[in-house]
Amino acid sequence: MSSPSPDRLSVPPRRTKPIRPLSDSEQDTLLRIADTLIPAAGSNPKASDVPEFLPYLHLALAARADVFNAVIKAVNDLTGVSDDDLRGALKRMWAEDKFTFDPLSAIVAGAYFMTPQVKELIGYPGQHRDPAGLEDAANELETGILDPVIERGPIYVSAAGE
Amino acid sequence: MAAEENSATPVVVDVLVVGAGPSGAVVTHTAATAGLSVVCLEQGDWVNPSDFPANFPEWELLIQHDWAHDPNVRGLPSDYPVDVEDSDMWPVMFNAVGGTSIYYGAHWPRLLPSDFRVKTLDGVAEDWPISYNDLKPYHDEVDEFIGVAGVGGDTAYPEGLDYPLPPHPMGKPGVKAAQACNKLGWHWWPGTMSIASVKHKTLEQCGRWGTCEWGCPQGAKASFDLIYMPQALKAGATVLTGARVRKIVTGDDGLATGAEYINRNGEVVFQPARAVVLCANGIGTPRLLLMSANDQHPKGLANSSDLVGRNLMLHPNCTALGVYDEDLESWRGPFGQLIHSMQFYETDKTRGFVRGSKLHALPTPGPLNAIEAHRERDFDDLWGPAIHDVARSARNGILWAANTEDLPEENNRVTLSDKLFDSDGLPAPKIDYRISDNTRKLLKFTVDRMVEAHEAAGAKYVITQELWIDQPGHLLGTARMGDDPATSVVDSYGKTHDVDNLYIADGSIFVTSGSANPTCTISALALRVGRKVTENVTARKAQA
Repeated sequence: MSSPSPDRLSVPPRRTKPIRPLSDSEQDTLLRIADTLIPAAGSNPKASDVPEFLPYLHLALAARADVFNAVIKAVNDLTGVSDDDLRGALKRMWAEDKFTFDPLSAIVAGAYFMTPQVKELIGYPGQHRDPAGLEDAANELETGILDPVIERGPIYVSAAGE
Repeated sequence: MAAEENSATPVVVDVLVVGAGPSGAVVTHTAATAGLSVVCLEQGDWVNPSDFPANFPEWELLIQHDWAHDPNVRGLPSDYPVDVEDSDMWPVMFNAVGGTSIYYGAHWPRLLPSDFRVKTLDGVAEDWPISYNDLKPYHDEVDEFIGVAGVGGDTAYPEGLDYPLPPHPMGKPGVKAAQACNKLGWHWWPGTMSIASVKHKTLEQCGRWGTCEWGCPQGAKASFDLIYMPQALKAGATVLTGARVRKIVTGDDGLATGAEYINRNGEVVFQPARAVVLCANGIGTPRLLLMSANDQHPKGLANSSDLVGRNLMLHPNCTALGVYDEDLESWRGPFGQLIHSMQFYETDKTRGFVRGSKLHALPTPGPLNAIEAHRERDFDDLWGPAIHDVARSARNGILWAANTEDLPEENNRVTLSDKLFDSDGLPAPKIDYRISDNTRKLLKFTVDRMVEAHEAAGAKYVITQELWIDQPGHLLGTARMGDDPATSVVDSYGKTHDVDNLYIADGSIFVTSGSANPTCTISALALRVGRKVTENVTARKAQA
């Protein structure tokens, strides 16, 4: 509560852009990392082939601004690693430095699964308002699903006082 | 930063409430509607349903840090650090109007009759000074007020338990989990939740967003900023946000005279009151009592028993995530409890431990959350071509989770940290907490049962977690109630034994934890405390 006091004490500010723009080199390497962690498989496109992946990658970096510097440092460290060696390098990071690998991979995967194309592909409609129908709960219970529990009767332990 | 004294003295209020979470909202409303003047001090501020992460596409990333459950991760201006260096678990809370109910899953089970008589029945811990029936009318009143949704007649409870609103559908995951329980011959019941299944007072109808534990964007969940506190304001109560209480002040006669708080400008303000009610949760309340030590109360206020801060109980949680072949539409909420099972709630000594656990089945919303749940897999089983199938598993999951009963132990406690301080220079609470052998056995037993439930339902595979270190935010027992001032901090009405006009109404006053999610019981106790505060303050004013 020390001054200067922010406007919102219990709500973090929402960022929609990374704390700084990525250099071309950083972006290229991050896309190569994304394609290594999320390659094409069957009907699933690799990360960089998804049309809107890049803007969502920027949104993901903004959402995890707390780890931006650590993640970009790791990206820069991998800049000179060839495509052939990148999977091995990422696997080493996974084994030896989870505090970098976990947020890096969360940002990449988070961006991929935010894109409308991939959401549709995996059948994820996103969190949204979807109120229940008036009879939905009653219809479930009318199947008799709860009857065995009711037939067994009370199971509580009496403690004299209830 | 040193706070500056503010010389302007506010008027004396009848009741000063510290903390605007569930208990604070209930007490504030109870006293205000009785015609008393009430000020509620809250270190956080208001949060709108439109603020919550589920409103945004990046919600699964936002909940990893900016909206994390753990205040040490989140680090909002309203938060204070929690020193967990010597703790097996990290107590979590949310600091805002509505308190941690902003983030709770709105499971709404009452304690069972046996919970009040653990010493008598099982020879451990202590009995409560009240019984199941003593609390029942307060439960019924709170349930009616907030619009609890459920099916009456739960066989885990004595007769007479019913709810004002119709139940939520269990959905495909809930039905599948229920069918497995039937196959195993277990108790289960459609999930009882403090989420409005139809529009109710200041609550909207549930929109099944599936993000209850990260804030309800619909405004349907009974977080206490949306129910009770709005009605308290209408009745004339005042809520001061950005008001961090640093000390309860007592006079020469030993009575509480009010509280000092630090406002948004960094000024210290004294708010005088005829009675003070602490509702700052099972961590914040003992912290404040210990910070209020003075010459008359060198061990901290209301601490002649030396029990302030002791007997911390945290309900260690465990989970078993099952992934199924069929599409269960597990992105759909509510992310409360679709069903619950009390099959293993009571003591069965053949299991090798006492007391038990409450199980609940939930959906598994979000592809990134699914990936996070598979983090323990080998690299090649998650990263690379495998990731596509793991993400799809989010539609096909059922999460069985459980609270385990944590017995009170004096060495599990809250003290004041000498290493960590909040943004106003006040000492952080320090947590000393170790999980007992009894609880370890209980956790393992419960995980095994949840795996059994998944196997009975035909899960493809199951991922278990025997302890969630940063869940569930059930902060209990640190100023327990009792009839004997030598072995308890407050009486059964929350009045401290040592200070006649100082009350506690939050989870601190639990004697044992049960394994039922506690906000239901906290709210009923708060109503009972609030009624007594109102009665006593009204009587004092009449005598004056």
